[in-house]
Order: sequence, then structure tokens, then C-alpha cells
Amino acid sequence: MQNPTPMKSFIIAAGCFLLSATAVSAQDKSLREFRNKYRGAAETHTVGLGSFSMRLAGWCLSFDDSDADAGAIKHALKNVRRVKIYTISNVNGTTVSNDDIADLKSNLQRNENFDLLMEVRDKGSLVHVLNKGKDDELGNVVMLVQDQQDFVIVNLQTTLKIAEINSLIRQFASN
Amino acid sequence: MMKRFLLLLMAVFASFHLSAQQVSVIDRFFQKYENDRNFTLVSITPKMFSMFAKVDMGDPDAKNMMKVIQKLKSLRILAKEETKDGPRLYKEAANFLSSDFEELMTVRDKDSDLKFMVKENNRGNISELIMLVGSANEFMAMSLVGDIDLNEISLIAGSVNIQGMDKLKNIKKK
Repeated sequence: MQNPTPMKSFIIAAGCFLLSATAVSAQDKSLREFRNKYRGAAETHTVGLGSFSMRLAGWCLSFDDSDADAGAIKHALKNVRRVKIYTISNVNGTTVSNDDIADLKSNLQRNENFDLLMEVRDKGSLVHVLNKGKDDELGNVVMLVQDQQDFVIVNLQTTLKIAEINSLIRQFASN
Repeated sequence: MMKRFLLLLMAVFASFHLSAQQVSVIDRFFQKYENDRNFTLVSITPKMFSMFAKVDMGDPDAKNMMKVIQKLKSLRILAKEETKDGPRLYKEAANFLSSDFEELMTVRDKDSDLKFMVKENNRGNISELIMLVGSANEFMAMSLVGDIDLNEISLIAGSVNIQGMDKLKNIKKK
């Protein structure tokens, strides 16, 4: 069998890259649409950290090899592919509507196959935690946090296994 | 052909009936008030508990606790503070409890009522524990679903900071 030409390899690599970029982009479609809905009507901010930033943070932590906690965090960071934080505040002097949050939650569950892990609501505050992943991994996590003034969405895309979280817990519990 | 179709239709209806039965009667009470923003709500889903189940703790005490947690499937708490509706909500929730729940404990004093109800499974373990608290200024309903040994209830009661659960700290299977 002939080896693929450099051009062919490049096209295949570019195709794979585009496919993976589309998959990542599709995963937070509901979140971006939600943020865009409030653009102009509220103060919206987006912070995104990719796997390179995570590796860089891990690299900074690796200066002190004797610190076991730093080692455990570094290992966990290696498996965090992306962190995206969206904040929406001061929506026409009030906060994000409860119906919109309920719609977002149901979109994530129905259209993007997220499962609800937990929900806590007290007076004006609300926290929803959802994830999408196999049984033994944390996978893609979305946290929806609402308080009296702000609404924050935290999206963690990880390849962290429960066993890795387990060892992180053990490390911190041993202190 | 017609016979097969009728059998299939019956099977579909039977499965609908079965899934309707799986919704606990107290669920209807939770569903009635879970979207009411005046209530405090805590809900931990079966998936969260299944993830907990995979966490392996090193400490022996924590290990025992994890063994109990591994048997839990869901936890829901619905509470209302600073309300005059406490006694009314307590009565309403108690009326939702069907005959398959047995009374485990009732504590009544001057101004508050506390009731623990349990539903048993085939193995004689608790499949659902309901706690209702109603007083002049607050109300709380808690539903804990799983496969819980009565002896393990005291372990759960001792480790959670939920008002009223401390009453179960000394409970033991005879």
C-alpha cells in the first residue's frame, strides 16, 4: 500500500481538526444561544480557557515536585480540555428570568443529552449541576448558578474518570 | 394478525400502567410545589448517587458511610421557612401518603409535628423514607429513596445536618 502524500495527510488532518472543532462547538450551542439572547439587554462576559491554558497552569504547579497536592491538581488539569464561563448580569435592572433558566435546563437535557445531577434552590439563589458522560467519567459538566443579581454558567469539558477524582479527593482528605 | 395486534396493545397499556405505578404518591406532592419559588428545594438525582458509589474512601468511617450512600438512589427536600402554612402543608403532605407507607416514628409537641414514614421492599429493607415536619412557622418534607437497612438509618441520621433527622440517631432493627 502506498503511503499517503503529504497533501493528502494534511487534508485528512485538517478534516479531523474541523470535525473535532465542530463537535466541541455543538456541545455548547445551547449555552452560546442563551448568552446571545441576553446580549445587548444585559452585561455579558465570557471567559474561555483551552487545554493549553490548563497545561500551562499544570506546568506552573510542577515547579514544586515535593507538593503532593499540586501534583494531584496538575494531573486533574491535564484532563480538563476546556473551561468556559459565561456571566450575565444586570438584565434591565433585574436578573435572568426563571422561565429562561428552566428552558435552558430542559434544552440541555432534551437536545444535548445532559443528565441532571443535582439542584439546590433557596430564596433567590439557584444551582443546577448537569453532566454528560459515561458512567465512569465526569465528562462534560454544566453548572447554572443564579443569585439575586447575576447568572453564571460554568462549562467544564473534561476526560476525568471518577477514579481520578477519587484519587484527588483522597489526596486532599489525607491532609 | 388481529390477535397479535391486541396482545401488543395490551402489553403497551400494561407498561404504561407499570410506569404510572412507579411514581410514588408523595411525588405528586413534590411535583405540586417544586416549581414554587417560595420553597427551598434540594434534589440529588440517581445519577449523582451512582457517581458517588464509585468513590472509594481510604478512611474506615468514611468507607462505612460510602457503603450506605451506595445504596441510596435519590434525595429530595422541600422546605418553607417563615410561613404560617406549616401545619396546613404538613397535613396536606401526610394526606398524600398512601397505605403502602408505614409509620416509623411520630413526635408531637406543643407547636410542632414530626413524622417518619417508610415503605418496605421485598427484602424487608426500606425503599423510601419520608420525613415531614410542620410547625407554626416552618414546613419540611424529605424523601430518601434507596435500599436501606434500618440499622443504617442511624448512620445516615448522624452524618447529615438535616433538621429532625437526629431523632433517628438511636433507631435499631429488633
